[in-house]
Amino acid sequence: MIAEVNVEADLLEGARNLTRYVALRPDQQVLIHTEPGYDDRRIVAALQAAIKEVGAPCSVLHTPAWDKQHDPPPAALEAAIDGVDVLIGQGEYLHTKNHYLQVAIFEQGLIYINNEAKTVDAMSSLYGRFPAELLFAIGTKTIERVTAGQQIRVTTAAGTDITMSVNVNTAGGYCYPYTFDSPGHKKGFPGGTSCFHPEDPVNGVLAVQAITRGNKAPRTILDQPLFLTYRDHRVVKAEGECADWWNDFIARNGPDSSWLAECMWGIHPHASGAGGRGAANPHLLHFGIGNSIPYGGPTWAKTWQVMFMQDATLTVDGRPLLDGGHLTILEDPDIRAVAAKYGDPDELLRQSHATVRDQFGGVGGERAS
Amino acid sequence: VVSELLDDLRSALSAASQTARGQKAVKGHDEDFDLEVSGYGTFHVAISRGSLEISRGASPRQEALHYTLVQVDEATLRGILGGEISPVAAMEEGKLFLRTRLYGGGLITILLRSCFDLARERRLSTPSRAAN
Repeated sequence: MIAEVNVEADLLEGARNLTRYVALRPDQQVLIHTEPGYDDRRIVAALQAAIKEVGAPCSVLHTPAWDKQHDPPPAALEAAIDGVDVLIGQGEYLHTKNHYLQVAIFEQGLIYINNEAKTVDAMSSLYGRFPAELLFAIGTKTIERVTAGQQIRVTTAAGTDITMSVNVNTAGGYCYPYTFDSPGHKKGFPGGTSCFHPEDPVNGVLAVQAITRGNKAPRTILDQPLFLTYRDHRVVKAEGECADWWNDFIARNGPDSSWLAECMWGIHPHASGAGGRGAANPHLLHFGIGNSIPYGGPTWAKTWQVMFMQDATLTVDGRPLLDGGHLTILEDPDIRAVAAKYGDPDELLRQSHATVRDQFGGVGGERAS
Repeated sequence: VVSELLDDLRSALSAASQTARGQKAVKGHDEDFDLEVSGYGTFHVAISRGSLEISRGASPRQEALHYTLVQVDEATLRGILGGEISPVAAMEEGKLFLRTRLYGGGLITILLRSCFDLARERRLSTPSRAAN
């Protein structure tokens, strides 16, 4: 396959970059999983070439598509995972709450890398080629700032105003050296999100601007916000667009389905929705709501729901980490010094624009309808 | 009773860390885990420079990106060490909680799974009374 496909230099460099993020070793068995709609031969060939350069054995498995949340995976995939160290998911995100992946990751030590640079353009761009050392420097400094504080506050122009506290053990994301958790984890490539599990007290209002579709919300991108009022970690009032859907959703699934489980925002200055993950751009922040157990949290719920907002300001004890959707750490002298090792810091750290629309409808994002 | 549980935990994890899978979890890592066992207090499992140490009490080092709190009851912990319930089954049944960063904590569950496997192997290799 490699000989038949012309792998452009930037695409190959993006693929090499994935192996650097993973810190791939020659003794690790790799499986690339593809499925219809996510099987561009140029990307697969570039990944194969990059993995071959490392010296790691690599296999490719193309399966039929399936509903990742509700249907069992193809038996061939489940069996193949048993025999590999690293799974590169070129297809849709494989929901890690599924039992077979829980066992593979947390007991067998599988490293599952969801390639979020889904298209040739995304993999070839500065998004896919962004230096691992620089991304991890931005991420670890972000986590240092978050865990040094006591109170986190998130506000948006649309009306979000919520305060939370944070524990040192529950801050992370796809933003620090993957080797810290290897083996036995799932990460995105190139990732570029930081997060924490909100700790009590959690009070305030979320002004939701976009809703993922997994729980059959009638809209994804809202014309007017859905306002969710939080008291003691759970929603006590819903108003605005899609409030009827929300109230029915909670009536069917119980109050813990409103548990504020995760606060996550982008730290990758070049993330966008063009074949990548818009949610990794600092202009986007989202909350994960519901079952937090598989992600390191304390509360079980029947459901998981993600709510997006744009251009948030996130402060740590009053000091802005995100300022109207801008990641302030990008100006940090230490970060600029790392960037200078790889090129012009102004170019590498210039934050591209993104809106909630970047997370929906694209190859690497959420379903728009 | 606490000392007995600590000894059992130390013995099981030490053996697990010598398996091929256990070595993957230990080698090259620098990570602290506190096992909070309801009614028994906290045990500290420290992975440092490829070695494993288990002691009574909470970890003196709780650093971001290198620390996980594990909450479990004694029966479940003994069940895992005895090969009766796997770590993931315990998590899915709400008997074992990882209070950690997103997709963190895998090193300790891999080690616990090795404990589980070793216990099952011991049971299979021990002749039963009926066979005698």
